[in-house]
Parts: sequence; structure tokens; C-alpha cells
Amino acid sequence: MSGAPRAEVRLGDLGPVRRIADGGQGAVYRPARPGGLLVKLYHEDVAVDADELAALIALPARFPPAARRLVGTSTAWPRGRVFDRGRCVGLLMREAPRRFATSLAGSARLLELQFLLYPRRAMWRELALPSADGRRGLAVRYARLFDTLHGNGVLLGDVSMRNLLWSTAGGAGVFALDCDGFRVLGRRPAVRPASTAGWLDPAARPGEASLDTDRYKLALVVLRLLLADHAATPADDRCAALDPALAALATRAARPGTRPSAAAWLTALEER
Amino acid sequence: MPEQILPFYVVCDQSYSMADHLDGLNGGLRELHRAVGTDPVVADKTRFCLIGFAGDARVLQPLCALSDIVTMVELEVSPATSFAAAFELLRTTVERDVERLKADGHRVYRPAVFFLSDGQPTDPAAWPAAYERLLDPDWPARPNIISFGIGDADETTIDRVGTVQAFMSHGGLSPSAALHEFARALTRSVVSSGEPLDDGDLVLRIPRQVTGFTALRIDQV
Repeated sequence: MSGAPRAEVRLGDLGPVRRIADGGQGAVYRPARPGGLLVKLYHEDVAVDADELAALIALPARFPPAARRLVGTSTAWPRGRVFDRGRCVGLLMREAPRRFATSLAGSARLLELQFLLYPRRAMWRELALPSADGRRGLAVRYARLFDTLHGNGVLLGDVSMRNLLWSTAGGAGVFALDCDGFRVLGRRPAVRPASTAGWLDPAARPGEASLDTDRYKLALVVLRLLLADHAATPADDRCAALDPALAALATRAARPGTRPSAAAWLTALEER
Repeated sequence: MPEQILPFYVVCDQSYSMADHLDGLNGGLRELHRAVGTDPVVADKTRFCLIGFAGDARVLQPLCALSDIVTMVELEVSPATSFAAAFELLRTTVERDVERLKADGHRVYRPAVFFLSDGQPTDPAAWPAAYERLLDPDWPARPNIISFGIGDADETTIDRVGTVQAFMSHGGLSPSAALHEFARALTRSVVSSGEPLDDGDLVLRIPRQVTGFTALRIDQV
């Protein structure tokens, strides 16, 4: 991960901040200081486990170099905590690189996965969408990110078509947001992660996150991306029309407890 | 593909007294269009219709997904302030739109109306009957109304029009700035309501506070 983690800052040290996004758990701002990072300040009713957040921030330093690099380039992993009067009220994180944003209707817009899962509309008619091969290349990148995180004992928890970004500028690339909802396998997350309708494992209890639920969500990412449909599931008849290896994985993904690993998706996506 | 749809109707006073502040409102509606129209999930789950009223009422933007239009229509002023014309047109428009959405296989939620006026109705004797017809308890599509008053609007009237919440501008902002805040509150409501719950249902979310306005209904706990 490039740059040393900035352990903690006081709210007052951020200088003037400019709000750039609102979310269910907090708002994201561009602070005057430190440069190059964004700050997420939680809504007052969001409970933050400051110790778990510190552990999450420190985690990538223990990853092998290749995994550390991937996390550094492909995620908005928390870099530091923000405190106000002794209470942890937010975090610092990396901003998504410029290639994960575009201009739509005259305004900057992140290239969220959702743009690849709905039919093209007049408002984003100028957006260059990837070809079928381009979609496959993005699926490889998502599978690789999941594989790296799972291989290092990290669960993503909440996966949605808003918190995963994509780009085809300069080659296929992906970027994950809302990484404060990530958790070390077997531990609780620093903040209660969101749960996104349409992206929940039907076999899981509310709020449950396990390797199997994460694998189900990766199956949704891959299949929805390849089928260009936000509502596709592993049980969808259309999965049978994919490559035999991918269709076989979709069948397994439909059954709790047998969901294919990210590595299995990688192998199937990369073979032709 | 059949979807669950939450329609929003924005009903705006465009009488002459609005002439000096319409820029703020038109600018706010353009921002609403940009924010919702470039959000595939929200644009898919919500629909938007703009009705302007003065002496008569007109559908300025027929009900649509905001991702399907590239330019937001603008409000323009004309004389008088007929609430009855607004409510009558709203009733027939909602009725027709809901039937059409259902015929297309969609599951339609009770529409939300954001109603805005800056003056007192010039048809005080006529509008209550049109309003009652709009809220006919036997009509399943009767809308939820959030009303906003600015300038010379009468607080009692605005309070009466809103069925779930009513806001009055308290004069802390210029009318143009207040109208911009109205449009921002509308945007927040559309964006948060268009995000489905875990079970896929949609719920109308209305702002508890709007900068420059006072909420006339206070939650009791």
C-alpha cells in the first residue's frame, strides 16, 4: 500500500471540508488537509468500533507485497481515524483514481457497477460501455480482488452495484469503496455494514457475513456483469448459455455451502 | 421488465409573484435531474412528473424515468393562483399514469406529491372540493402530499394541503435560495426513497428538516 497509514487526526485539523457524496452511514468530504485523501464522517447514530477500525487500517501492512499493492490500487481502504473530543467520528481514505470517474450531463460521476447492469438510457448515452470481452476482463478483476481479500482472511460483507467501480481506460480496472464494512474473518466489522437489497444471500441470516455469503455475492457480480442484468441470479436459466465452466460454477453458486471460491471463478473466466 | 415504481409529482406555483425566484427553482430541478437521471437504480425505481399551475394547470413534464430525458423543462410565470386547477389536473394525471404503469406490469406505490406555492389561492371557494376529490379515501392511488409555502403563502392553507408534512419558509433565506433548498429536499427524498429495502419494498422518505423552512408537524415521541 503506497504511503504510510496516517494513524489519526482531529476533526479540527482537517481544515475546511467540501461535501462530495452522501451515503446511508455518513457523508464523504474533501478536506483541506491532509491532501490527496478523502474523509468520511459518520452520521451521529452510527456506532464506530474505534479499535476494530484501527486493526483494519493496520491490516494490509501484514499482507504479502502483491496483495498489499492490489489493496492499495483497487480499494479505498481506510488510512486513518478521525477523532472529535475523544470519539472516533470518521476515517481517512484514498480517493478513487480519476479513471474510475467520468462526466455525465456536465457533472463528475463515479463509474459504478450499476451502469453495466441496466439498459443504456438517454442520460448516460455518451458513456463508453465495455464490450462482452471487456465485461469478462472486469469480471476477472473483481474475482482477483475477492480472491486476494479472502486469501488474506478479509470478508467484504456488503457488496452492491454502487460500492464497486470499474474502468476500461488503460485496461480493465476495478476499485472497491466502503471498505470500512470489511472485516477480518471471524471478527465483527468496525461499523455495521449496509445491506443492499437485491444483493443478499437468500440462505443467510440478516447481517450475516461468511465466506459462503461473500462467494454468493461474487457470483452475483460476475453473472450480472456477464449477463448485463441487475436482477440475474445463479439460478437464472440464462446462466446455462454461458461457457460450460461458468455455467457449472453458477449451478454451484445457487446451492448454499457449495459456492465456488473466487479462485474458481478466476480460472473459469480466464480459460477460453 | 416489471418493476416496483414510486412516482413523484412536483406541483409548482408559477404565478407572477414567482417571477423573481424561478431561476433558483429551475436550477434546483436541473440538479435533481442530473442526480437522479444518472443513478440507474433510483431512476429505475422512481418516476417524475412536473405540473405548473397559475390560473390554470399544465403538465410540463409528463411522468418519466429521469434517465430517459436529457433536458429538464423550465417553469414560466403566468397570472393567478388556482389551487383547484392544480388538484384537478393532478387527480386526472395520477389516475391515468397509475393505470398505464399497472398495464405495463409494474407494481405502483402510492404517489408522492411535492406541492409548492408562494401565494394565497385566488379560488378560495373552489379548491377545497378539488382537494377532497384528490384525497378520496376510496381511491387507492390518492397521493401523499408534502407541501411547501414561501413568500406570501398562508401557513394555515399550506398546513392543510400537506397530508404527511408541511413546511413554511421562515424568511432566513431569499425566496430563490429557499426554492433551491426545496429542490434539494426533493432530490434527497427521491434518491433515498428509490433505494429498495432488504425485502425489495420502497418506502417514501421525506426530509425531516429543510434549510430555510420550518416543519409545521413536529414528531411526538
